[in-house]
Amino acid sequence: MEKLLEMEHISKNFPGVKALDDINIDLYPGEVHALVGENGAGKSTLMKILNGVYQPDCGRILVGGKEVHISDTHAAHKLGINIVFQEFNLCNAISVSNNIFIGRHKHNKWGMVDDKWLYSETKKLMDYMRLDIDPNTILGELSVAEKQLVEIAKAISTNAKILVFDEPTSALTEKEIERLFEIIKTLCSEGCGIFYISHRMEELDSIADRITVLRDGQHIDTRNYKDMSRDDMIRMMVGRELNNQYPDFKRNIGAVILEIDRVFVPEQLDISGIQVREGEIVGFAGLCGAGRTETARAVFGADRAKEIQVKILGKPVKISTPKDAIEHGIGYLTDDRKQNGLALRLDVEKNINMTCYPMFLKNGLYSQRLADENARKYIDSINIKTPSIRQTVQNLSGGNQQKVVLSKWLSRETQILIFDEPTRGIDVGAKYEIYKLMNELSKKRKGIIMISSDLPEIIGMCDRVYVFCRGRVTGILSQSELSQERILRYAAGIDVR
Amino acid sequence: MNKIKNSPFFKLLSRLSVLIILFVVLALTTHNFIKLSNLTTILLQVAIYAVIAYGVTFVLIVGATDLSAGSVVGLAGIVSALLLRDYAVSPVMAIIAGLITGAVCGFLNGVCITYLKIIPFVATLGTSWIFRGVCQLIGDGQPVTIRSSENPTAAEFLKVLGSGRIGGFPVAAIVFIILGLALSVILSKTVLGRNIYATGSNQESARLSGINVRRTTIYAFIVCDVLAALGGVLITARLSSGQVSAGTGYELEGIAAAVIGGVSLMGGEGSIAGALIGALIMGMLRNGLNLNGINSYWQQIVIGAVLIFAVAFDLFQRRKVGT
Repeated sequence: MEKLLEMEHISKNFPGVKALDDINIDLYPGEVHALVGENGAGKSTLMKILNGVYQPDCGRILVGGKEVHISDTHAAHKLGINIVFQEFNLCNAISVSNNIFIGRHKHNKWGMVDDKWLYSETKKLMDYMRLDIDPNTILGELSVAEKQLVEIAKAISTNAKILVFDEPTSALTEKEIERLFEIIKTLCSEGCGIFYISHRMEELDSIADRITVLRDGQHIDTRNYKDMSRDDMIRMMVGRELNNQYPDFKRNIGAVILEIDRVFVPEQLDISGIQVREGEIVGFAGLCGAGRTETARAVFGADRAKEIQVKILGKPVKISTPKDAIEHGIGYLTDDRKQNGLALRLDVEKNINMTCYPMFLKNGLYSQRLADENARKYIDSINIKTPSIRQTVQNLSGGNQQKVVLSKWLSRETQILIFDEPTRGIDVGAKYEIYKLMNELSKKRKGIIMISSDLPEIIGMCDRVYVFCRGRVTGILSQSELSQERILRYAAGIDVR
Repeated sequence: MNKIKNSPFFKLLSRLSVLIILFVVLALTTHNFIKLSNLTTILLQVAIYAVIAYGVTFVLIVGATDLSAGSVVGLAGIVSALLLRDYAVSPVMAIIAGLITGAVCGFLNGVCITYLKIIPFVATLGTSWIFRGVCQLIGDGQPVTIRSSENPTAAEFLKVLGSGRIGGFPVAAIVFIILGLALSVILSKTVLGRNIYATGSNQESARLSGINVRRTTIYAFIVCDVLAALGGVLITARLSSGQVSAGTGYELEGIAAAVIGGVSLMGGEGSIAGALIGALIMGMLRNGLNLNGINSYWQQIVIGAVLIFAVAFDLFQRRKVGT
């Protein structure tokens, strides 16, 4: 069979970094070629070269056997190459159809935009993807998952032969992921080739035909997917043996520290009877929008609830702002570190100390020396990789950014910590480090809530799990009862016997 | 090297070098520029703009804008002048009353933005008309002049503050230099300053870190409008008269000076030193163009071009570092 695409001997240097070193990769029609590697392994750089965003320093690209020069994204589109990026490239203020056909409008005989054509083309596309979204809907009104699906529709609409999916499922629920996979399979049967980048190994099982592992810009291996075991894959990615994805732990669980007796928001949340004990890691499992983050934010005072009753160490407390919550010893690591976890344009020190600026006052003035000392303490103790404490955090990798977020709360020494999707979008090695840190915190008798959509992670880390479904707790599972199947059934609202 | 180029310190240094180069060029090419009397005149002229630019810097760093600063200049100037002329209040009390007027204006601006959640551009556009209207109402549309024949002490005091000199150095210049130091300390060495940067850089992240972003924003506006009010008092002092139209357009002068000095309109970035350098660059440029006999129409074009060049330079620098 003729290859759709070959990339040969691709190298790319950035100042001080060898981002890609002699990479060879190819793609056949009808296959899903998985691309895995830790953050910074070079997956995104390689795909950006394919899409014309970067130019390779050396190497050549062949499309359908012919050597091509991809000077920019436009050229890539012309060659039938399209990427569904992790970050959204959509405009919130305009309609779905205008987003999909942006820059590709058809004109009617009066020289105006042909709205009828726009509508019917979008409708066709939505039907093809079996999406129930009206083409005239303003994009901003859609959920994150729906936006992601629109982004995918946009890529498909270009009739691309070579499609790249960069972490397409991080915002999707199980059901939507299934639908996405059906779409991918249809595309493959129509002769498309697909590069698929993901940190979630479970989902590769159901769609990947071949797999390529990259590490530190090097090509490690390419195999048929079924010939590669999970252990092999992880070992190749991190370059060392990982005996266990989750560190061992022994918990010493004490008295109840946090009781969420009731959180009520009409038609959204009706939560009661959640307890967290000292030294315990409690999981909140469930689908996106099931009420896990909403509950955490209400308890933390970030959002208003109609009714809320929370006790700390047996005493009722009143929390109406995050400031109150922090003063009562609750810390919250948000699910979106870029949106609301970090001040990306400020440096590492200002971010780490953001929860406790008043601690560094000396003779009434802010002491830069004390503040720096505190920041350095965490950079060393939890191993944040940054060239300096004056580096702006937007230049750090995802794993290191997450550690900065964690340091914010460690500095404040809150007794209760809520981790919301702490390992989203970070690589295997960094995940393991975050798990180890969480275990250490539990050893220090902190009470921890971990909200996660990654079931193996919930099972690997938690002592007890509350499963959420449509704004209610539908199941409470202890460590010995934990299984993916049980959690999924509760999460879907199916009775478990 | 890239790391250094991206740092606020480098940005400030690049502005400072522009200022020095401008100074040297003007000194070499322009007759009379380097004379002490001319240099002190520049300082005197820059004083009011610098004070307003300081205030605007607080608001820009917290991630907002203040279009009402110019109206606050006028209102505070009239309030002080009226108190001096008609109510025989002591000059110090009149100034304090002017500054309190500014604080009230800042508080109102802050409340409109944080509690009514109106975007700063619109909120302060609205208050700018309200403040200007009040200013014209209480001034009855007329200048409020303090004559030495009627109020000898007040007139003398205003003369010293507005155009007096200590050892040849303008009093107004001393005011803005000392003020600059004090505000620098507030911005970099107090919790309020830290909170202002955090709020401007990412308001939601600051709020979830336990920072009271509403209070921080309101404080930033109070600082800004108290400084604008001080600008108004200085103008009244300089002219020995409160003018109902004083300060018109000064908010934009302040924003321009701050931006030329490297303060970001996106919030979270900038410094008082930058704002001062920006104001000095603008003041020196105007003075140099004047001495060379270039008319005011051309001056506007040049200042506008400098503003655009300064911002484009930053963006270019950032892009180079970004990739």
